[in-house]
Amino acid sequence: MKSRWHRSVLAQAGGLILVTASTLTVYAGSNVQAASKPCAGVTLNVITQPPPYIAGPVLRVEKAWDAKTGGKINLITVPYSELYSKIMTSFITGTNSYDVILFGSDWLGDFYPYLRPLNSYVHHDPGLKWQNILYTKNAYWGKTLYAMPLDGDNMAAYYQRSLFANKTFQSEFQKEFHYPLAAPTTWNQYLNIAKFFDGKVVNGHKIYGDLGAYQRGGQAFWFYMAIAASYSTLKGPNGAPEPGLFFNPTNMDPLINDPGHLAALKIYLQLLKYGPPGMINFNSEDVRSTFATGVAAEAYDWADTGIVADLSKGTKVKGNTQTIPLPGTHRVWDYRTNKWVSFTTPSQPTWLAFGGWKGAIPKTSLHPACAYNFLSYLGSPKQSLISVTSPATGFNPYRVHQFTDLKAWYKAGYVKSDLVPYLKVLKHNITDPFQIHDLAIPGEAAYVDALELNTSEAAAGQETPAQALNRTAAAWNQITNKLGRAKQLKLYDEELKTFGMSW
Amino acid sequence: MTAAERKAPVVAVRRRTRVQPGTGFLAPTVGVLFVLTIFPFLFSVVLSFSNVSVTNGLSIQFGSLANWTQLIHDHEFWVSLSNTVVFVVVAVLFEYIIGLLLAILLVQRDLRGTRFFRTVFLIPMTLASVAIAFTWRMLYNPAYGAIDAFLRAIGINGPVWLGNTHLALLSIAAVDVWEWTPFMFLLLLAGLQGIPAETLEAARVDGATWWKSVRYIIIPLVWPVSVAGILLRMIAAFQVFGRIYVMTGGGPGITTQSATLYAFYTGVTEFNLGYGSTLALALMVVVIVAAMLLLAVTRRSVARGQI
Repeated sequence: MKSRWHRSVLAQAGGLILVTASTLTVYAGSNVQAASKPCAGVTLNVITQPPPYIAGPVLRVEKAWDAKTGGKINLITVPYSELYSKIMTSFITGTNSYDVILFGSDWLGDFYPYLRPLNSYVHHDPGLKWQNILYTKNAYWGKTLYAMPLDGDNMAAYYQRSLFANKTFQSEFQKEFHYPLAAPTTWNQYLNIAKFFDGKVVNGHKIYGDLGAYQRGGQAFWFYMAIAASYSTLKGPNGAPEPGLFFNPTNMDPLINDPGHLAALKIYLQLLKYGPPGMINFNSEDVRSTFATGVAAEAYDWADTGIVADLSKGTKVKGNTQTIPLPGTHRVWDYRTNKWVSFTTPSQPTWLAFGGWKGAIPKTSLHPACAYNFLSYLGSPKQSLISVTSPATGFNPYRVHQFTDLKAWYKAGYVKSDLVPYLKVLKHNITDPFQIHDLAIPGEAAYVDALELNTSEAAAGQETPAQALNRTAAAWNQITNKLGRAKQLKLYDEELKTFGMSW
Repeated sequence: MTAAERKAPVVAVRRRTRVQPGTGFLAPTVGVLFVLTIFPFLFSVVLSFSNVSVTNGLSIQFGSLANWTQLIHDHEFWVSLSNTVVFVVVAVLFEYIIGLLLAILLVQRDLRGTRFFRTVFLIPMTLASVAIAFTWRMLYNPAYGAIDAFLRAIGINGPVWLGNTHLALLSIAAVDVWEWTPFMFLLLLAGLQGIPAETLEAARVDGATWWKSVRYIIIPLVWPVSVAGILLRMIAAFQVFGRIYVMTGGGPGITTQSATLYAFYTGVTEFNLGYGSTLALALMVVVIVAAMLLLAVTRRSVARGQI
């Protein structure tokens, strides 16, 4: 009886030990899993524009990030034209709708009060290789880092190499313009090339002179500003540009209607004559897709034209696309002295149009650590290289190794003769101290729209160039006054200091 | 009068005003309607009479006429509105005329293939509007579009349909006609089928020409249906947005910009909520006035026996 009792006690004790041991094992296992899957059970709401551009890379990394961290991504996409207002609405109503926002740098001036600083996250994230990023200025507001760079937006010019190498064209051009046909270094030369090639017959097909965007809401602002940047911006003593492109930094008066901007608008409008019929309604996507069809001698655009030229299906300019820096000018308007300043060598600033897509974490996010983890993964050296070398991602190179690891580019389908100048120009653009940053103060969207409205009216012949710019200046003043001139001036000053501009 | 007599009418009144059983079941519908329709509308009215700022949080200061004053002096609004009116008139007029002619043609039972054509004519209406806009944008493309390619093939140098300031709006209206004529056709066909065959037969026996039959018999008899069709299409055409946004973005300049597109640019792109709401409300007033005018003209014509 006693031995049976003992056996029973022993059996119960053994069972208890087994249960405890297995419980502890499961618990320890779950701890190990929790440590290795830090975002298990977390779903991040990520908002950006619809795929393929920008949302495409998110969809690509989604599964891998889930496997790594246990977190889920709920991708919310809205058309680009509504993205700003959608994000801003969630900010001003204080809802915690999004954990991660992927947005254009230009909106940082509006967004930064609602964003979580990332300085400490980045500081404790050696895997991100922050020092490897070439382009970080516009991720800051003041000294606070608010955004993760994911893209290296800037503009360049492109031409068909075979046309420039054609002996007949070379001699005809020399005869007509009294200088050799070569890559343009000024906007006047760019215009002459457009004029020269427009209507020429190549391989039995008529070609057009040039391509650019003129549509309101179709990025026309950045195309016009690509020209205006060189006519209105002087290099400061520290090599950085002076703020001649947008506003007078002492009183927020618009500089948009000075003679420099007017000269640029005249070039912009003349170029319209040498483009394909209907170019007045072109947006930036029309520019790159049309260039890939081989019907235009030259174009200027973001880095996407280079990608589409080599990777798009049915491209006719693969292996024939030369990328060059944006042309410049021999004379630049000085808004302080109200005089032209002449240069023997053209002044050629680089134009960091739009400033690239960024990722940020709203203050209201309930999962900031996981949100950062996701951004860090998306912008990691490995993933970002895949993004910038893939077609239709909207991400352009911005890290050191993306310019040196040519194998990744060749693997994606690029041709060496196109790739080498392409990467050289893009790297020059984002490392050149004479780089002009885009407008990023509150109301940026309204300033952009006011200019696009008037330049498109000038393009349609409904306003003269001078009228268009005077009306833009009046509209800009109205926007500034509505938002508060003193407040705008303070923010503009902060922006210029953040970008290291001199005046 | 006894106390009971004095109380009697009160009881009767109470019975009459008593809430009907089941009224409470309407509450969810009314609630949804309030949240999704009535509240946003009232909020838009408030915004249009306010100074709205969205920098550093939403701030609404009610009691300002600034937005409405701006509207009166806003050249862009008047151009957008006149573009919209031209679009509505051209599109609805042609949709009605072509729809009526097709309905008259296909109402004849002795005509072969009427069923096939009735089905074919409905296809454009079943397609997605944005897909239609993209397709027509390609068709109109002067470099590789099918329309200009066809014109070139027969020796005509086609115009730049969407890039010409005089042609762009009409080109977009033509797409609307292509898409929505079937709707008008469908309504008018149903109306025509309701006309007794004897009436038309009698007119024919009396020597009425085709045009006289249409003018004095068909149009008056289908007019109630016509008014409904025109009214529905007019209201929808006043709201034209996606088609223009996709095809021209409102350009060249603002020659194709509709009032809704202008409200979109102002309210959504620029995030100027106060003025955007004002533009939307102004368009609503215009649509209501236009609808009332149409109905008033119709009523007067009916009263005078013109229809």
